[in-house]
Amino acid sequence: MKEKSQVDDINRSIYDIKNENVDEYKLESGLTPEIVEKISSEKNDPEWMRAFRLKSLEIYNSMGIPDWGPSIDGLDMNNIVTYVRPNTKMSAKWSEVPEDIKDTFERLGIPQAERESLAGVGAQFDSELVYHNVKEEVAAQGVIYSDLESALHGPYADMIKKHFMKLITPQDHKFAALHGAVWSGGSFVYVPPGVTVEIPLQSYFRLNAPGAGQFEHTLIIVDEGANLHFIEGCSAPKYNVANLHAGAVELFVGKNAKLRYSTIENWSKNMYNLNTKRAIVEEGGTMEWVSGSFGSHVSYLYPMTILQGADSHMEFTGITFAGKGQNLDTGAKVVHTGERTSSYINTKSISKDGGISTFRSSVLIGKNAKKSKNAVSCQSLMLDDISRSDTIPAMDIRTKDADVGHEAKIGKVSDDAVFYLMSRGISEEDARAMIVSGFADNVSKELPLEYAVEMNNLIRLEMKGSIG
Amino acid sequence: MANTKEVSLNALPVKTWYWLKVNDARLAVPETIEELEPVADIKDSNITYKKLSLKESIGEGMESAGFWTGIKTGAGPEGDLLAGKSADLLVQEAETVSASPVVLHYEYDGVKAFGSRLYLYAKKNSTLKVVVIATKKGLDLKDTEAKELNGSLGALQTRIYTEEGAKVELYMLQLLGEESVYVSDIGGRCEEKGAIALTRLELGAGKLYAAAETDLVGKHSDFTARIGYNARHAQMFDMNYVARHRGKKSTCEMNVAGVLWDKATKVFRGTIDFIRGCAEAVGNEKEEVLMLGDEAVNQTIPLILCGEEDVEGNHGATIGELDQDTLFYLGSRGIDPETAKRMIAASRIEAVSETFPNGEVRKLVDEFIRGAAEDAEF
Repeated sequence: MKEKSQVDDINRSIYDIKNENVDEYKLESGLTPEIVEKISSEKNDPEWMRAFRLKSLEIYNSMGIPDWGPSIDGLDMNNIVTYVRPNTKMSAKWSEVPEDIKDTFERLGIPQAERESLAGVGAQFDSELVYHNVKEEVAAQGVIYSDLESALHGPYADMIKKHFMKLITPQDHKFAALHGAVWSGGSFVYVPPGVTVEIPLQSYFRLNAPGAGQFEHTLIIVDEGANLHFIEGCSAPKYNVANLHAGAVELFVGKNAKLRYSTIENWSKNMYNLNTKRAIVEEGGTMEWVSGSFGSHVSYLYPMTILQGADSHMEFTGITFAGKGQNLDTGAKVVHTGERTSSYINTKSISKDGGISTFRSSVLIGKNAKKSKNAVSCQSLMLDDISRSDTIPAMDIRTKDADVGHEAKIGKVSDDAVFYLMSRGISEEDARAMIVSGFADNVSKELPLEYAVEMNNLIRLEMKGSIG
Repeated sequence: MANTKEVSLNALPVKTWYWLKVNDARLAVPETIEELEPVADIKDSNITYKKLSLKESIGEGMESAGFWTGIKTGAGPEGDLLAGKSADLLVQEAETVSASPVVLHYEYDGVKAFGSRLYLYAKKNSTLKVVVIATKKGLDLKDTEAKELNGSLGALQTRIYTEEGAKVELYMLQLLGEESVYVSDIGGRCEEKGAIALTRLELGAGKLYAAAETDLVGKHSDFTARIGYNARHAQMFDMNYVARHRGKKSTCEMNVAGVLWDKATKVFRGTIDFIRGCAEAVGNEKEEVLMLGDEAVNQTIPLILCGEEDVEGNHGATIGELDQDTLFYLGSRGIDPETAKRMIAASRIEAVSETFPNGEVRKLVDEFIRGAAEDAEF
């Protein structure tokens, strides 16, 4: 007879810091044309953006809640505050950021990471960026890394208008429409032709206010032959009320350009993470996604790539860790329309303590995508029998001249492997944590060292107290 | 055209994105569906045959309608609307093995709509073997012209129950005309060490809706499915297979291999569902799709649903044309690419037909392959 023991989870103290006394301005909760108008006014939107927001709200109101994924019944938009502005201006100096907000980012290690390993940082607190800076040598290469609102009024305004919500349109789904109506904050990156940004840029999103939503928009354009690694991090303290994240990420990868987009998502477990990410890749371009999903109460997250240009390529490497009270529906989508395009989706998911992890994917190979190739590999690990792990992939192939492979595996931690490690003097808990870390190795090895360490720490946190 | 009613068939056990249009299949069916009796060849004295009327509440246990309607089928509850008002019940006596398989031949006229029900019951430690042949009346396999749908329909619902240690081997060949829609729906339940082995070859029908759901209730119960298909012209095949593991150490093995020519389309939904408590269950699913048509469309949706920790589930799929290595190898043996493709396509079908226990089927399939080979365009 197999026996299991259970030890409580430890608290996630770094991420659970609450800034209860932050001086901030909030709009009333709910979603009305008046609220959208107020946000537009706060943002000093150009007229086209104001009209776009109102149109998006109309679309939002006309669309139904998805019935194919995790329940979002606990999310009542009437109780969500869509705009919360800390009473501070964005600064390029940490010393000018209010002390309590700066302390939060210090504890999350953002300024230190910036000093040691990043080319630029944007830090968003609730609905607004409080810090944005890019290293001089990177700016000197012509790289633009700024908050999106400032950029809307700057020399790149036309470029933003041309690209903003063209990949993710408000008609895509209800929460894309919501985003179009109330988006706030986020970053704009433009990498000029032929420029390689040697070290990554990072945006970090912190949602502090209880019952609030965060709707940042990230727009990245990597021009012909350019190369960028962008890192996105996010966290929030846990509250007893629902918080909502409905951001949007639009990525344009030019001819022969390369973009790597890495995310460590660690929202608190009261968060509804209904985020949308999409990339379009031109001829010979490469899009790489590295994605770690650890937080949130409910997640719907499937970065999508459109391989439009001939010989373009996409790789998606992801891990999802669903613990107690979490229902994480994650995966990837790829659409091949260009000839000789190739994609590889490699995901791992782990479920424990009643957590539900769902891998969902779609691979579409269009009629003209001759000689295209795709491979999908997804592996799931169940750590107990009160959790769930579902795999829901779909392949839609419309040319005979394609090569598509798919493999999925589901199973548990090998008792033999645990026994072997224990025979070498390692405790059962550590043995299982080691095996799970090894299982997640495909993601951690794709991350810069300090982020891989953070990810492994998160896994250790989640595994603590799960002997069984 | 007669009045029709739209039904939902072959629904995925859990939904995915609507824009993929794979969550279910919709079919307009005539409101009037006649009942079709099969031509039956039952040689084994250990098999009893009985006609069950579903209009009246009759009998108990396996002779009551409630017993059978409790077994879910792969097409789903609306599939019931297509089947007949009575059912043919075949029972294999305990501790016996079919000496020769029962052969049931359903002949559809290609004009009207027909529905039938078949219930198969294998008593303790028995093995029941059944071959189902569904063809167009006056089948002419030399006629390889594409046909337009004309409103004709054939539907067969099969429900299977295996007692402890019993097995049902079901072999199905489908060769309807392309002017017809065919719905072939299966539901099964296996008690401890019970097993269902399904072999199915889908070659005809303009639109095909084929499904099977097996409830592996008992410890060590088992479901194997070996599916072959060949779709050409504008044929549309929609398939839904579900293995639901409830019993400890239950196993399933689903192997699907097929060929898509011309502008044929195919949807294959395959689900392995590990229900909490089915410890040490193992489920495997594999699909190989050979795409030979310029306008062929393939959709594959292989699900693994898992509520139990101690299981092993695997799925693999390969989709595409013949790989260059195979073509090169055959080319080095003097076989041109077109012949090589015909050979490989035929071998996919033959690999399944060879396992049928009666020569009549193999003969029909050989004839079909010859016609298909002549019809093939590259």
